[in-house]
Amino acid sequence: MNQSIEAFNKMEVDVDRIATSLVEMDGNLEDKAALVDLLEQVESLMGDSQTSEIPVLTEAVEWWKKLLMASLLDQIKDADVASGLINDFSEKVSLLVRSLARGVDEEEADMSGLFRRAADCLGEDYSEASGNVQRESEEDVQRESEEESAEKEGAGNDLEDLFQDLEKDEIESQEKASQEDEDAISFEEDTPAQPEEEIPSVAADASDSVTADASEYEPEVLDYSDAMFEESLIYDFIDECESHLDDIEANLLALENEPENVSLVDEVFRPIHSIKGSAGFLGVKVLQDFAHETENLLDEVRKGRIPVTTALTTTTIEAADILKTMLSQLRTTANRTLGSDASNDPLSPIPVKRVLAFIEALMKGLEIPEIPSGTSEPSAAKKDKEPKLGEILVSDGVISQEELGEALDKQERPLGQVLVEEGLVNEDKVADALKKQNASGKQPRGAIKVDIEKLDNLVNLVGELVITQTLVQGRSAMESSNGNESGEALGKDIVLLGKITKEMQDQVMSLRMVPLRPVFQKMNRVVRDVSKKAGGKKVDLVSTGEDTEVDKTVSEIISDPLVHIIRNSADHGIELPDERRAAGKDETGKVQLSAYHEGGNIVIEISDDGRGLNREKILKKAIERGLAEPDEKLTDAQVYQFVMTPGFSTAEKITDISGRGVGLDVVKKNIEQLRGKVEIHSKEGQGTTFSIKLPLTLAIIDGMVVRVDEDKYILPTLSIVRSFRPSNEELSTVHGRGEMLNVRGELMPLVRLSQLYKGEVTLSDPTEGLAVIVENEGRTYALLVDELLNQQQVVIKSLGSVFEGVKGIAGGTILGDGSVGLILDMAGVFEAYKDPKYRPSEPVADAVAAGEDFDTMTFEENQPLEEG
Amino acid sequence: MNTENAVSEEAMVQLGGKYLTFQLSGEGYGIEILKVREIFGMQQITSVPGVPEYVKGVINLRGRIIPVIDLRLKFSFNEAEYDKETCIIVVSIEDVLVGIIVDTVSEVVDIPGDDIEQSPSFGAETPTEYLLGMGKVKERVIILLNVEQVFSEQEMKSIEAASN
Repeated sequence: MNQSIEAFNKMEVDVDRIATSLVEMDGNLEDKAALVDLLEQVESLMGDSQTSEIPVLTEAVEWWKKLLMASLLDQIKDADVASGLINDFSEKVSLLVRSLARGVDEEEADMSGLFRRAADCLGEDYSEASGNVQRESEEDVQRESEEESAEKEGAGNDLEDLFQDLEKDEIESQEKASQEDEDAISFEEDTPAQPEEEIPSVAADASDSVTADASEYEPEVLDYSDAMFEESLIYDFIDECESHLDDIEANLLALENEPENVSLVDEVFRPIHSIKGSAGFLGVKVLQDFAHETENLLDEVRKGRIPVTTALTTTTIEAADILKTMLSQLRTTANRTLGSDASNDPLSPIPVKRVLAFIEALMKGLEIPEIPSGTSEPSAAKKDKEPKLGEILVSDGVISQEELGEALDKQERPLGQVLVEEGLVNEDKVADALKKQNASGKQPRGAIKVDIEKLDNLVNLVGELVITQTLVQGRSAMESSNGNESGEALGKDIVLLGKITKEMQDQVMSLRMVPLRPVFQKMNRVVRDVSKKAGGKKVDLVSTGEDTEVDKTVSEIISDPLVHIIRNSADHGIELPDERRAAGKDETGKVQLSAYHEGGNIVIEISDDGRGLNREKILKKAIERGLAEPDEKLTDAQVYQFVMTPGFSTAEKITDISGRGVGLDVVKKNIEQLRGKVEIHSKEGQGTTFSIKLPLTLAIIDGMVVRVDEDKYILPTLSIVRSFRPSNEELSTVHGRGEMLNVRGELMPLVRLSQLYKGEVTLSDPTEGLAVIVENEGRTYALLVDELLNQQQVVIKSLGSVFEGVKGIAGGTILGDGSVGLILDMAGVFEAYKDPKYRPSEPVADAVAAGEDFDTMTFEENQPLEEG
Repeated sequence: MNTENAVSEEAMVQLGGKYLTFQLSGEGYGIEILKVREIFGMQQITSVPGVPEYVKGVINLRGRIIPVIDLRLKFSFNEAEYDKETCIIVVSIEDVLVGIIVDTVSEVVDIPGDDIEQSPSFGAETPTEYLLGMGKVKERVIILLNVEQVFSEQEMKSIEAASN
C-alpha cells in the first residue's frame, strides 16, 4: 500500500522534472536532442510496475509518447498544436499522478478529451487508437515474467486496499463529524437562510458566456449553522484564518505591483489551501467552498495557465475580502451560539456569487464582465458595527424617530439621561437598551500567538524575581529585628512587593496553562475503537473536569499515557457483555475519566468498573520474571506497580489492541518525565483506578531544602511522608552493611545522602540527624540529612546535557543565597542506592549499637539490600 | 609533502587574531577571545555527585546554572589550591556555557597568523587534538587551545558515561 503511494510520489517528481524540461524547450519541437531526452524520460515513467496498473495513466503516457515520437519524426502537421498538447499532457499527467498519490481518481473523465485531441493531432481515430494502446500495454504486461505479474497483482490489490481504506476513513471521519455535530449546540438563523447555491462548475463548457446580469449576482445572506461550534476550536480557527488572510492580502498587494513575481502566487495559494482544509474540518461549508474556488483559480495561475493581470489580482483581493467577511460573520455566529453575544440581527449579505462569477470567467480565460458593483461592498462586515442606543430604543418602539431626533438635538449628556428627564421613557427601559448595546459591543475573544521560548524566558525571569524578592525580604526582616525603625517600614513595602510578585508569577504561569478538554476529547475515539475491535464490548466513557488547566507541556505529554491506560481499561478491564451480565453488572462498561486539583497538584483519574487486577497473577508473573522474590511480602500498591514494568503482560492472549506488555511502561516513563506519579488501586471484580498525580507546573517545584554537610539539596515535597529524629531503638543494621529504620513497625532502608553523594559519612551518629521518610512507587525509604532548612518553591533549572546521566538529580535551582541547590529525584535516589557504585565501600556498623536480634527479621522482610 | 605543509601553513595563518592568555601549571595557554564570555574570580561551587573528578560542579551565572571544569585536572596536572588569583573563564561552546578554572588570567594578545605554528607531535600518547597550534608572543610560546575539542560532544558524553 505504502509502496504504491511511494511509487506515485516518485512519479510525481519525475513528471515535475519533465515539466521543467518542457519549460526549457519553450515549445520548440525542432530541438531533436531535447525531444529524445524527453521521450526517454516519459518512457521511464512507466518503469514502475505498480503504476502501470492504472489504465488511464498508462494510456496517457502512451499518447504522450506517441506525440513525442511523431514530433521527433516530423510527422506532425501543426507543430504548435502538438507542442501545446505535449504541455497539456505534462499538466494532466502531473495532476493525475498527484491525485493518485492521494488516492483519488478524479481526472479520469477529463483525460478522454485530451486523448481525442492527441488522436486528432496525430491523424488517428481515437477509439481505435485507444484500443491499440490497450492492446499494446497488455502485450507489455504479458512480456513480463510470471513472478513480476504476480507481484503486480499484489500491488494492485494493495492499491485497492488503499482506496478501500481511504473510503473507510472518510466514512469514519464523517461519522465522527456527525457525532461531534451532535455535541455542538446547533444554531438556527433567525432569518431564513438562503438555500446553498450551486457553485459554478469549472468544467462547464468554455463557450458559455458569463452574463453580466446584476440581479443574478445579488449579495446573499450565508448560513454558517452547519459549522462545528466547539469553543476550543472555532476561535482558534478564526484567529488563524484571519492571520492567514492578513498575509494573503499583503502578498496580493505585492503581486499587484510586481505581477512577474510568481513566488508570490505560491505565498497566497498555500494559506488559502490551509484555510480550506481547516474550514472543511470544522464543517464551515460556505467558507470551504469559496476558498476552494479561489484556490483553484490560484492553482491555475501558479501553473502559468492564467496570467497575472490586474483583473486577477482585483478578483483575488475581493475574494480575500469575502473570506474576511465570512470569518467575521462566523465569529458573530459563534459568539451567539456560544452565548457571549445576545443580539440576533440578521447577518449582512455577502456578494459571493459576483466574485465567483469573476473567478469562473478568469478560469475560462474570458474578460471580466462589467458587473454593476453598486451592490458589492467587500467590507460588509463594517455594517455589523455597534448599534446606537437611540436606534435600539426606536426599533423597540419605546420612542419614535422624531422624539429621538429632538432628544439628540438637546443632547449634551448621555442620551439615556436626556430621554428619562424628558419623561419619554422610564429608566428601566433605558437600562434594558443599554444592556443590549453592551452585549452587541462585547469584544469577541481574541488571542495572540507567542513564541514558546519567549514565554519560557518570562517564566524564568519571574521565577528569578520571586527568588530575589524573598532574598530582600529576608534581609529587611533582619534589619527590623535589629531595631532599625526605617527597616520596619521598608519591610511592609517589601511584603506588598512580595504579594504583587506572587500574583505576577501566578499570571505568568497561567499563560502556559491550557485546558485538558482537547486531550479528553481524543479519548472518546480511543474507547470507540477499542469497543469496536474487541468483539462487541460495550464501553461508555464519562469524563469530568475537562476544564482543568494544565501546563502546555503536560497536556502534550499526558496524551499518550492516557491513551494507553484507557485502552487497557477498555480492553482488559471491561469484560464482555455476557460476562458482565453474569457478574450482575450493567452490560455496558463504564470508564470514568476525571481531572481535578488537589493540594497544588493535578490529579487525573481513569477508573473502570471492569474485572480489576488479579494480584496473584501479577505476582506470579513478577516472580517468574525475577522482579520479586517468592517469599517477599508486598503491599497491593507494590504489586500493581509491576504492571508498569517494560514488557510485563499477564494477558493470556494478545489482542490487536493490547496485551503485548508494551504500553503501561510508557505511561510510567512519561509521567515520571512530568515529575508526577501513578498509583493503581484495584478491587477484583469491581474495577481498577489509575490515579495520576502531576505537578501544576513544570517550571516550579515545591521543595524542602535540606542540608547535608555543606551542601544543600531540595527534596520534592510531594514525595515526603514525614521527618523525625531517629532514636537508637529504631535503628538496626543488616549484616553490618545496610542500615534499616523501624518506623512504627514498618522497616525501611536508611539512605545516608552524604554517603550516596559525597562518598563519605559526615554524620556518624544518625540520631543527631534527621530521617526524612520519602515514598516513591509504593516503596518507602528514609533519607538521613543533617537538618531541614526550609520549605520553598524553587524554579527548576536544567543542569545541562553534561549531567544528564547523573542518577537521582532532577535538576538544579538557585537558592535564596545565590548558591546552586541540587533537586533530588526520588526514583533516581533509590536506584542510585541500589547501584554498587554509590554503595558504601566500608561497613558502617559502628554507627549503630542497638537491634542485634532485629537483623534476621529485617533481612527476611526487606528486599533491596541484598540486591546489587 | 610540500603541498601538505603549505596547506597547513595557510590554515595556521587563518588562526591569527586575539587570544585570551592564562597560566596553568606555569605554562601559558590561549583561548580565542570570541569564545570567551566572561571572567570572574573563584566562587562557591556546588559539587555534583557521580561525575569525573575534573568536573568540579555547577555555579550560578546570573540565574543560569553552568558546569565548571578544573582544567588542571582535565589535563592531568597536579591539583592546586584555589587562591585569589584563581579565575573561572566562561566560554561559549556551541551556545553551551562552560566555566573553566585556571591558575590566573594574564592578558589579551594579538597573535598574527604568521606567528602561529602547527603544534609538534609529542608521540602517540599525548593527545594533540586539543591544540590549535603554538603562538609566539615576545619570545614566549603560548599553547592555543581548541576549546571545542576540549569540551567536544564526545568529551561531554564521556562525562555522562563516567557517571553511569
